[in-house]
Amino acid sequence: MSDRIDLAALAVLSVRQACPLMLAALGGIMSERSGVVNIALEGIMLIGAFVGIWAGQQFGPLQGLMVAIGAGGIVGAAHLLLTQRLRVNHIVSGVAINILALNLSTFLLRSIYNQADPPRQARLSEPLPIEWFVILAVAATVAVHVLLYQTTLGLRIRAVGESPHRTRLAGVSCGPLRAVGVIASGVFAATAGAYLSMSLVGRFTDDMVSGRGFIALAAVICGRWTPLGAFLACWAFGLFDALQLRMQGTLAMPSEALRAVPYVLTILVAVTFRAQPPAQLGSGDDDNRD
Amino acid sequence: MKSLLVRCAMSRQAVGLFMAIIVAAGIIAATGSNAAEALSAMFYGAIGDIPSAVSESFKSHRLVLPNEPLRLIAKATPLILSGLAVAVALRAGLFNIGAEGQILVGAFAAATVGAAWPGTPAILHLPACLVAGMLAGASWAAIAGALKAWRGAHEVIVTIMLNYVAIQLTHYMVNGPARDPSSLAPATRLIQPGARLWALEGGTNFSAGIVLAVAAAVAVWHLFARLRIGFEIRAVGENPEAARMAAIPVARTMIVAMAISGALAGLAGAVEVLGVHRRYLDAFSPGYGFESIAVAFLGNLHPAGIIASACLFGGIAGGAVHMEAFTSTPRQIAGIVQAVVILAVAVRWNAAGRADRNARQ
Repeated sequence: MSDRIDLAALAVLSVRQACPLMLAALGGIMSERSGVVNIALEGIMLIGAFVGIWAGQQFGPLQGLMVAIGAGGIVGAAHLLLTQRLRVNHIVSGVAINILALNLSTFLLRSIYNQADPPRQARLSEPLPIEWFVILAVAATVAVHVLLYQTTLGLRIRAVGESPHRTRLAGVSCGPLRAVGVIASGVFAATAGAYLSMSLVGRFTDDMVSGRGFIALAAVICGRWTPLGAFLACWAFGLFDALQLRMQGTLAMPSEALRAVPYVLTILVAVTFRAQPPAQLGSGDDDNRD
Repeated sequence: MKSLLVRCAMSRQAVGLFMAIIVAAGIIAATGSNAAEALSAMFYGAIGDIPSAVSESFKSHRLVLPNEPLRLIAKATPLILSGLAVAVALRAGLFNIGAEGQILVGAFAAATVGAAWPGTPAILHLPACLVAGMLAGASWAAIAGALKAWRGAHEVIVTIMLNYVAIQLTHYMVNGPARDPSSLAPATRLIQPGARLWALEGGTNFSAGIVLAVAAAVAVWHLFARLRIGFEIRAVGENPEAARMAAIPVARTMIVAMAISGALAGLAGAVEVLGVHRRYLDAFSPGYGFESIAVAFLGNLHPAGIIASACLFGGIAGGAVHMEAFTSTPRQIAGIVQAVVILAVAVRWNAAGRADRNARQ
């Protein structure tokens, strides 16, 4: 490779890497703004990735994407049920969903595709075009921004995250709003996962999300729980990822240092800016009558 | 009298485990395998053929022990330590999701000290390695504790991020400056003989680490039952405001709790290096840090409960490997069981929430 970095190629690569982060981060914002912590983004992405490929093989790529999105909505609904009705700690529910998703997707991959060629890989013969998902990610960012800041529904969702009790006093019931937030979160995360397997890579392998769900969570925090902020953070993280992929071996600093940047940056943002999460983040249905 | 046995059998832990086994059986059956066959293979893989070992012992007049129970204890050892780590932090109201990262840095520090200073007598070298592992884990976790206490940064976020920083850091070290050039896989140099923890030959991975793990469990019990700092940790966990009123230094207590938690996780990593692998292997942890959350919850945050649940998960993990080898069922069923156990234990089935809601309407 020449000393001059091909900027256009780098830009394209960074967008491709940032796209799943953007979609998953939107999921994080929808959930956390309505007051539900969602560290299950990683697991829901994995489920979306697996289901997308499996259903894509059975029914065709577009239908597969729809099934993956539906599966994400179902897992989101499960997280909602667990945290709100069954009063499970949000972190505990998220950890359990992540463990379940990782093991279940690998279990199913090995049960169904053990004899596949090559074994233990689920392939899609015609991957979906990457551009679709990039356009979708940008459009969804704008849509979530408009939803949260320009509509009554968005105002109410933000209100539930800040103070469920006062929202209830204003005559608005919290349950349905949180349902919208958390199920949308599952839908976005599963779309991000489906992009990885059905479009970017074209196949499903063990643990293929490999921490992207947590980077998306980091982007939510760095973007201070706003769609546009998270969008910029995801793009920056995608750029680091692209740099790291492009310049492996040619860079003075080790690639691990670049890979650690998003995490260190997130800690710094959490510390220095005192990024304020929604006030009642992590509460149950009836907790916190402030 | 409602006997202890009945209460144990009806406990939410037992019910959760029962549900998890039913879910696992359902999933195995749904993929077209024989669930009974798979689960019994798992059971024998976990505890071995005890009856024939007993009859063999009587016949040969010496103790014959199958390998499986030893393997179970070997797998439970790091889980006991990291489960204790999660429990100590949770008692202070802090969610340490970062045990994984603390295990990695603890293991790496122990391997580094263990490979240095050839010729050091074991009486000095082994404790030095253990202390190095604990210090590394403690300082890694104390970062999250300090940022929480001083700046209000959420410990869940910081520990998750620190996990990935630890993964990248150890990955860099073991592939770069600390790599043993003669090793094919990325690994550090072998530790000196004086740094080795006693271990049984024969591939069971059974080591003296279990003694350390049980000692740590007793120490944690002592901490919360007898020591002032343990009481302060519990007070801060129950109600930080009330603790502040009672002149308990809340910030310092949080940092200390995270440091103790990290030290336990670091010790788990050190024991794996000194007793099992004898060097730091890249990505050696199969997710102990996350399993430890399940262990802590299933053990109801009590040291004795944590030992029991770590043994249970150790057995499930060992049994699952056996099951994978002898039936067509992949070993990931063990992780599915864990996840269901966590949820079943964490769910509050009682109607308190509903009554509360009705009262307000």
